[in-house]
Amino acid sequence: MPSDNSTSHSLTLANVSKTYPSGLDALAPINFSLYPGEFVSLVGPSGCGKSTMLRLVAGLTEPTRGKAYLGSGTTKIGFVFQDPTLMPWATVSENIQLPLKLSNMLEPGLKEHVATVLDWVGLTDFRDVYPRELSGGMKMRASIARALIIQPDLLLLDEPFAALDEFTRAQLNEDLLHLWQQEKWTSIFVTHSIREAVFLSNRILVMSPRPGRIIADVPVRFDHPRDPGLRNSHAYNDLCADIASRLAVHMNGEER
Amino acid sequence: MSRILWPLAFGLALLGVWETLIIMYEVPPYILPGPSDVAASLWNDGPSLLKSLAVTLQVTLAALVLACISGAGIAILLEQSKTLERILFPYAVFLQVTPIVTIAPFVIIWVDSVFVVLLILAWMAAVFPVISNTLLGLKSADRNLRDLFILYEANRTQTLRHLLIPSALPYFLGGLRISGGLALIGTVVAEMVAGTSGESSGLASRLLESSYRLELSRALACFVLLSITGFCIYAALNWLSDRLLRNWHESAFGNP
Repeated sequence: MPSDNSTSHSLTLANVSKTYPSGLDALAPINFSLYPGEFVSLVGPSGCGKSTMLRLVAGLTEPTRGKAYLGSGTTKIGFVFQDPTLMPWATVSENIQLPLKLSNMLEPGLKEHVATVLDWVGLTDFRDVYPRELSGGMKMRASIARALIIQPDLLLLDEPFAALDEFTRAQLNEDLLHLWQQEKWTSIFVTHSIREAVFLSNRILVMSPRPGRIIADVPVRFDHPRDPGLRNSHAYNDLCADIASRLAVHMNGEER
Repeated sequence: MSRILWPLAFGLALLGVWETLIIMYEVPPYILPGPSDVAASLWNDGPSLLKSLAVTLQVTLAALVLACISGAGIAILLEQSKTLERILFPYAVFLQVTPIVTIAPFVIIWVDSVFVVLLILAWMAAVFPVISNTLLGLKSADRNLRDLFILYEANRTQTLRHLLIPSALPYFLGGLRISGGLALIGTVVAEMVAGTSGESSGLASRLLESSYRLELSRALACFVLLSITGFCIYAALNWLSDRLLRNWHESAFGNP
C-alpha cells in the first residue's frame, strides 16, 4: 500500500469502492481521513461493507477503485477479528508471540514484553493455558493482546465483542479504552452497537446499507478518562439516540 | 474394568461352544480344529511362527513409515499449487482403487528382492489415506488465521510450519490409523501373491502353506497372530494420536 507523506494523517481513504466479482457492490466510493491517535467507530447495518472496509485498510483485499493511503507514521497494523482466532494447538503465551515470531522480532527482552502485554489484558495467570480452557471473554483478551504485542500504529477491530455477554462486553470496553489512552494507537472499531461506539470513540462514522457509504461523521466529545457512569448520563443517551435516528432514516428509506 | 471383562467373557463363551460342538459331532481337525488344537499349535509352533510374524511385521512397519513420510510429503507438495493437485491427484486415486493383487505380478517380475516387492505392494495399499487426509487437513486451516499470517507477512515456510502442519495434524493422524490396518492387509495379500514359503517367509505365507497341507490348526494359529497384530497396530496408532493431540484437539478429550 502506498504511503502518503504529504499529510499528517494516519490513514486516508480516497474514493475507495469495492465491487465483488459477482457484481455485488459492497462499498460505494468512500472518503475519510484519520488523525493519529483517533479512536473511530464504524457503525451501520449488517452487510453494509464495514468489514470489507477494514480488510481493505489491512491490505487483505484490494479496492476496485480508489486508494487507501497509510500515513508515514503508520507502519504496523494490528487486526482483531470477530472470532478470537487463536491457534488451538498453542498456549496463550505462544499465541500472543505469533506476530513477533512471523516478523522475526523475537528480541532478547521478549519475555518481559510478553509479560507486560499479558498483564495489560489480565491474562498473567493463564500464560501457559491452551485456548480451549479459556472463557469467551478471555479468548478475546488474548486476541487483543496478540494485536497489541507489535505495538501497532493502527489497530483494526472487526466487531470483536459481538459474541460476548453484556457484562463481559462492558468490562472489555473499559479495559480497551484504558489501554488506548495509555498506548495512543489509532483505532478503527467496527460494531453494530451504537452504545458501544459512543462509549469508546472520539468520532463515529455512520454507514448506509449496502452499498455502504458514509452518511454521517459525528464527533464524540466526552472527556477521557471515561468512567462506566458515562453510560447513564443524558448527554451519552442523547447522542446514542441521535445516531440511531440517523441510521433509521436510511434503513426506512431502503425498505420502502 | 467391565469394559475389558465383558468382551473377554463373551469371547471365552464362544470358544467354549465351539470346543463343545467339535467334541459332540466329532469333527475331524482337517475340516475344523477346536480352540484347544489351535492353542496347542500356537504353543508348539510358537517360536517358528513368531519368527514369521517378525518378517511380516518388518514389512508392515516399514511400509507404514514409508506411507507416513511419503504421504505427508506428497500432500504438502500438492497443496503448494492447485495446478499440481489437478494433474497429480487422479493418479493417487488410481493407486487407491487399483487392487494390488493385479499389480503384484508385474512388481514381482521387475524387482528381485522379495522384501522390496512386499514393501512396494504394502506401501501402495497404505499410502492413499495419508495423502488424502493430510491434504484435506492442510486445506482446512482457519480462514482468519490465514489472513493473520498474510497480515504479518509470513513466508511460505512459516505458514506451513506454524499454521498448515498443525492444522493438518489431526487429519493426518486419522489417515494414519486407517493406513496402519491397510499396511498389514497389503503385506498379507502381497505375501500370498508372491508365494514365498519356508520358515524365513512371512506369517501369511505360512498360513497359506499350512492350509494347503490341511494343517488347519496351524493355519488358524497364524490367523490369530495376524489379527492380534492388526489390533495392536491400531491401538498403538490410537495411543499416538491421543498423545499428540491431548492438549488441544477435541478428538483427544473424553478418553480416560
